[in-house]
Amino acid sequence: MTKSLRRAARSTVVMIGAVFALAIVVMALCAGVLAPTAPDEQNFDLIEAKPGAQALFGTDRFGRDVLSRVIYGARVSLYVAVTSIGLAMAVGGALGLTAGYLGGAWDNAINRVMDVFFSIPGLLLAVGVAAMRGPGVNSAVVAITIVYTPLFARVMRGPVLAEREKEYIEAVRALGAGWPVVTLKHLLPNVLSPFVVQGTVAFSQAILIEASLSYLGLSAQPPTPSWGNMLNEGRTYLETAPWISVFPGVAIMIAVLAFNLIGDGLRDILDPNAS
Amino acid sequence: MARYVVVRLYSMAVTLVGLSVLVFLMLRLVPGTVVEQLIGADAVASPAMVAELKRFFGLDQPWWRQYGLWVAALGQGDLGTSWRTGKPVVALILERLPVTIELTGLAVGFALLLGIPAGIVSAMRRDQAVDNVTRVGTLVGLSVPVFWQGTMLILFFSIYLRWMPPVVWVDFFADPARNLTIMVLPALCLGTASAANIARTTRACMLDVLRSEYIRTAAAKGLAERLVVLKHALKNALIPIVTVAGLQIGILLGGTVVVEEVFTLPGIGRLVLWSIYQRDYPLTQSTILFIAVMFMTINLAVDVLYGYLDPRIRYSA
Repeated sequence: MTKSLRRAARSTVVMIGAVFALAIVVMALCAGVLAPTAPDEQNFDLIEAKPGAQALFGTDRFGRDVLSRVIYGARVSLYVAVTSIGLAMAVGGALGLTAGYLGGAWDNAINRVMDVFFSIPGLLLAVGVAAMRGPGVNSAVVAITIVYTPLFARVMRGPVLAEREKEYIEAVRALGAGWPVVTLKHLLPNVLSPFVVQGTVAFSQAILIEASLSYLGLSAQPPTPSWGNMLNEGRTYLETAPWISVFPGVAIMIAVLAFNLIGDGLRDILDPNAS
Repeated sequence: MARYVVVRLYSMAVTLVGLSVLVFLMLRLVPGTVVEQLIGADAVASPAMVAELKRFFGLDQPWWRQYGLWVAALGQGDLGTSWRTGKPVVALILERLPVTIELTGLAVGFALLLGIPAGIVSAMRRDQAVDNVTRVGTLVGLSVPVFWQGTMLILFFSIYLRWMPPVVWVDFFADPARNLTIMVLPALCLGTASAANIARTTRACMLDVLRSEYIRTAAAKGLAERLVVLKHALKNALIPIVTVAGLQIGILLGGTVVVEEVFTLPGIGRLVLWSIYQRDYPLTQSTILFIAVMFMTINLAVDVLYGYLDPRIRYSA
């Protein structure tokens, strides 16, 4: 793993992605310091002001600074992506690990349930779940977790099936180790690579899905700024103040691109067969 | 092959039963029913009136009975009646299906037309400027949010250039030219990520094939580069490309929900969203099942086509 990390650090693609990703994380964590104003501070002298010296990204119809809202908007995107992908990796990973190792009826049952979630397109599933639960950041977290849990279960199960037949696992079993020890201590470290790669790719997709849900009014609710809901608000003012819509979109694109670059680079290093 | 298809169809049926239970229960676990929606938040309704409305919609029955009645009707080909419009669900789906199919079809067409040539050129000129531009372009294509791209296209073509008409839906058979003018931008938005995916797959497959000995032999015999690439290499690289393109159709079906919302197109994606907001259970349940059947059928067709294109592939049921 250390060797892989060193190779990752030498990869230009990974490093470019990492720099941008780090910038976005810093932006989210230090929003209070970096943003010129509070995200909901209204300046009635600057209603729909064009980007310029007074407001770098312009202002919206309430005179709120678009740059500040874009900076604060990173928080919602990253919170939803980190929480949902973290949960999906934990739940999906546990399900895939146990299904692959224990096999039999448990494996069969998990596979059948996962098939149900795979039977509808991911984005539609996310929209459906969020709409049923009602708008809110937690709805977006639940929706994205539900979409990605089956994927992580499948990504974990495949390598576990191959690995459990190897001699070192048989040896550990013969020494009397129980299944939790075998799976967590011996199996897991050897099947992590494709799982981590998938996690990075899914992270960028989670940012996109969250933005889509926000855009449809199903995630963060105004006045809390999120990139998606800013775009939705700006849609009405396309003719008079297009900058309200332009900058949040650019922010989403850079964030997704950054994590895609990391995912692509890591895939080449950790899981060369997949690429 | 026949045995494989039968087993897959059986598996599809089992999955659909699971999905029907899931969708049914999820809808009922959500607070608020169609009755509260109809009455409204501020209106005062007597308990008798609420009970009567619940009885009318069958919500006074236990959930397992409601589920049984729905499934029994499905078994007879009856998808139910929409609570909010009073129309049969099947009529509402068929009314909107052409829009979604046309949008998906145009998006796939755009993705293939852009993705395959871009992938071929990128592979042929590996590590040159055109390859680097294509690789960056595909990454950007995969990262652009579809709704933002839609908004920017509307801004540029409709508002600045005034080239595109305002999006007021016109049926293809009523006015084909106007219909296609309306559908160009949505299809472009929906197809961008798929085009990027197809370009990446084409590039990877072509690079593999171009390294083969038979390609070197063909080139050594003095065949023109274009002939070697298009006649010999592309033919063998096509199988995974077709698979990826086929799988993209299913993914695009999911994307229509956002694109239809951005461009206010009356398709199935918007119908599902509207039905969920309205707590129109029969419409939501049956439309989601309908989309799942479409999605699974496309995936099955892709698998079967894969075996047909490459007879070396053997299916295990």
